[in-house]
Amino acid sequence: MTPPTPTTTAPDTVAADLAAIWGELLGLEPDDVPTDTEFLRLGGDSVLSVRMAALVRRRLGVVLALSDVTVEITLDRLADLVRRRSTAAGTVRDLPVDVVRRADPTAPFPLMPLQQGYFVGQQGGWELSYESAHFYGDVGLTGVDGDEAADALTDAVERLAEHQPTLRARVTPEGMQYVLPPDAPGAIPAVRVYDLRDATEEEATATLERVRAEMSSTGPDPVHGPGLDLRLTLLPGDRGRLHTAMNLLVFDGWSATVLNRELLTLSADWNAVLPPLEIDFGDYVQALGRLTGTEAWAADRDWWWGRLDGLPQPPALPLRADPKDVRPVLMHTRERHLAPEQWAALRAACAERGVTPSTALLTAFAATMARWAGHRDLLLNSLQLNRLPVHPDIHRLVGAFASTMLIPVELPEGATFAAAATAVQRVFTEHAAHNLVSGVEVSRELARRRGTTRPVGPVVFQSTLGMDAAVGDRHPSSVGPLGEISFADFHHQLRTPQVALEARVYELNDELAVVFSLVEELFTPEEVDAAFAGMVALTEALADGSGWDRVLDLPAAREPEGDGLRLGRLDGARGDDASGPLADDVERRVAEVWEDLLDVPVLDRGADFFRLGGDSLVAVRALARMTREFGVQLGVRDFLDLPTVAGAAAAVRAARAAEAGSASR
Amino acid sequence: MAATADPPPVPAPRVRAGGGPGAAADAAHLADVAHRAGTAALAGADTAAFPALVDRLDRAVLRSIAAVLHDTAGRRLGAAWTGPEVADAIGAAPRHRWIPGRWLADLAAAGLAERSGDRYAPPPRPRRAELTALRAELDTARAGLGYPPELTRYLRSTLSALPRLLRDETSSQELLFPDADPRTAEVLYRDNPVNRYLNAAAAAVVRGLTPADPAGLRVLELGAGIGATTAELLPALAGRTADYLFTDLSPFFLDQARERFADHPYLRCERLDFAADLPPGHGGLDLIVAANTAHNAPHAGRLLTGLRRLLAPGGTLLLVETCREHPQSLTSMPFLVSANPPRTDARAGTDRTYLSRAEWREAMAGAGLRPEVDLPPAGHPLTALSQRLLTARRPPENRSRR
Repeated sequence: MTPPTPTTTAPDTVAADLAAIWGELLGLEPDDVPTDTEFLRLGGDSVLSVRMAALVRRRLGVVLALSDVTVEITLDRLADLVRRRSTAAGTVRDLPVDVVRRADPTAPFPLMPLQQGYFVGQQGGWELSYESAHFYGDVGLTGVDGDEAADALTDAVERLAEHQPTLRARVTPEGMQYVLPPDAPGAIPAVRVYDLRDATEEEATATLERVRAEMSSTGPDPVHGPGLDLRLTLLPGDRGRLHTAMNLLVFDGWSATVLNRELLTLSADWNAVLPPLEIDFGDYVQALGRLTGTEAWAADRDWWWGRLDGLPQPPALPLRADPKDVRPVLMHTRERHLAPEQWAALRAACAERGVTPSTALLTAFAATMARWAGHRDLLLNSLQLNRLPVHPDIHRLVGAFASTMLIPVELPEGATFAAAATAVQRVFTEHAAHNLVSGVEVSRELARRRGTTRPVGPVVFQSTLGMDAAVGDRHPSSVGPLGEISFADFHHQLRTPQVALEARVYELNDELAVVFSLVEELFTPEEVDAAFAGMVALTEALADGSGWDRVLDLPAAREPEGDGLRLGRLDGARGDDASGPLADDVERRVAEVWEDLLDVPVLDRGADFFRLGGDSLVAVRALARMTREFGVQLGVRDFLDLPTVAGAAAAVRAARAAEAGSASR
Repeated sequence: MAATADPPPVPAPRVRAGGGPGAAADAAHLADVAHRAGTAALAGADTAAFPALVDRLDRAVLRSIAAVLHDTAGRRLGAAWTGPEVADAIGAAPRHRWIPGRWLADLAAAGLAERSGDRYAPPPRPRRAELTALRAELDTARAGLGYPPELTRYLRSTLSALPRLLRDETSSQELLFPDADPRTAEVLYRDNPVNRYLNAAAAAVVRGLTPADPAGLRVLELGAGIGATTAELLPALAGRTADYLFTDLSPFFLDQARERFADHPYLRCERLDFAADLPPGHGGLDLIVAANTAHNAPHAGRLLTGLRRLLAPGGTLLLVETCREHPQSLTSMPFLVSANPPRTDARAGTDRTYLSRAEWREAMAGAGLRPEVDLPPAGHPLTALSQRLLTARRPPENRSRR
């Protein structure tokens, strides 16, 4: 990698350079950018601030610390900071790693923490898991050139797969990932075409339903092939549909946006050239690996570890089934769009009150969950699409960069919405400043301390508001032989493991989309409807301005109460009553496998796999090893029910007995 | 490239001051030395296939242009097109309105369009699969000619931008220097066999120069741009140069050069528009370099006459010039021509960018300069690329050696 060439940073040019960057990002003339107004109030947000940091790094050669680039910064303060940074090099507490190109771009590299979560979730047998974690969407096309569309799309995929190595990514059964060279057989995702141009309306509808059902329930799996499944339906009247399914193990939401954009650009223009990428996802993972063990990383870990015991419980939502007893195939959806005027009004209202739209919607979601769960202190999980700004190309890369972050939301009693949102924003910003340790790692430690094998953050909030601006150019709406894209005609489906309910907010066509994706089998549908309606009503009240100064109607209790089956209050305790020396040969062999994988002595038959340092990924490996060792098939659920040496040994014996029984029949 | 004290890999040219019968023999020897240096720099590149590959690249670019015109304007046009019709269908800016006509004429000249009167029947609209093959053909020819992949990337980005270029919504310079990065230009002017040959040959010529002033060589470079040729000449000038004036029309390049050549204290950078004005003074320069730039003068002869005045007796003018316009430059050069003031030399009234080899030699002689090196030699496969090294000397004054 060539280091960015710093232009001269004489003090008087710094302010002008920064104003130019802000102007570009915020759509203002550089001279019109006020120097004493917060980035947020000018329409900026946290995603855009990542782009800002990348531009500052590229144009001024100054690396900013993550905690510097908050949405509250003003141009004046940023200019001060940059001047200090450029004069006092070496004293910067920024990311203590540099990305470098790996010598062999096809060499295997480890999974990122969230990827591990998805990988484990694909193994089956885990609570709220599916065969594949993926996002499916299809969008309407008009004015399609039926004779050319398939060729154009195929051509685009081939070029995109060359440009973005992640399209050629594979995951090994052991949980490593690598990228195939472009000319390897099967490296490039194939396009499947359904030519229904001469079909009847009924045939077309039936095929569409079949394709949707198939792609929603059987996602592409990078363990067996490409992580992207791309199909094209050609319909009568020069219409069509473009179907995409992306496996979350290799593509995050940000990447989906980049991928769609580039795919459409390349489809539209057979000559289109994408600016080259200096690094790839593997280089990023490698760099982050070097982060572990640095002082900055240790400081963030200590910060989280010190807070874990004080974290609240997830929303104790009433359940109609225990998550470990349901076998969901699809997640269900509730969706509502706010019109462009409403969404613009909401943004303006947020800017006026100094909170980001994402924070406002997070607060609205938290209030909704509090009312449904009956308590005010909630542990929410969030999906974070931000990438650490280690390289100017980072926002243009496709890969599984995403991470999670736990957010403890303690809604104050008797507070207005505005006050609650301000408090939430403070908490969010504080936690986000410690993101060198991923939420997945934090959750694992929390599960260990709470002694549970259940997901600790099954209620998730995901906002991609502002991401479009951060990614750069807009979608081309005219796509050459593929015709015109109608984003108003968009159908989608998400399937993500370890999640009971996920709220997603995003922009589409200048509208604000509010979506719940949930495991319907767990909840009473009417309660879901009521909660979703409550969230939408609150959001609309924020847009029309009436919701901000009203006191939030919240339950009095801070901690979960009430009986019956509730989320977060399920029996997940691991039995550890079997303490004692290893009892027999099976237990001794189990202990040997564990010692080998965990690199710690395993002397007690009551020793818990997870307390010994194991995590879900290692558990998958342990199961594979024990299966080989004993020659019997061990299920994840059997293991999780009692993850001790004694428990595992008992599962082995039970499996042997079952096999003997079926063999004798 | 770092300056080196090692002896050159070829015999040093012997250059005698003085005219007369020995001068022709000296020039032939110099050309021979320069050619051998150039050939050594080819490092065994297989040039035999170059003529065929140049033709393939030219045709691929022409067919690509036709395809882009189909994509952009085809639906609004009939079966046969005129240049102005195409220009209007795309919404060309007035100054670029002539360009589609030029493309159509070149398509016809290559046998890819049929001409009748001022109308051209273009080749049929290619299918996407054919376009994919065409893109591969372009890249194959590029690779065969020893150009790095950036050339394909650049050609495709210009093809993709043709409609925007015609509408003046983007500029050729923007495409050549994306993000102000000189890499693409380096590929075009340096990192390829023909330019390696020409630059090495030029360095060999420079190595044989004797300063008119014992203080050291005095050099002027015109339109130096990214300094691709400069960088090749500096090692040959190291240790015996008093002054190297690096000039260009654009301050953009001067800033880059100041940084890039910071460790050459005798190198100065100044802005100069040689098409309008030459620096004052006369008779002091040992060498004037103009690589891929002299054709920008409205009148080649007048430029050379002015340059002769700046040269010391016995001083050398060194040109690197393209001597024939190839279709492969049709996605960029015409847009630069639109910006030029009208030509008043042999090109007057035509849309030609370049002068031919014969025209340059004629202009040299007319300006009182004696042509010397003219490479690559006739019949060499590199001639297919039409890029040449042309040098000429100001004859020394009789019996008065300074």
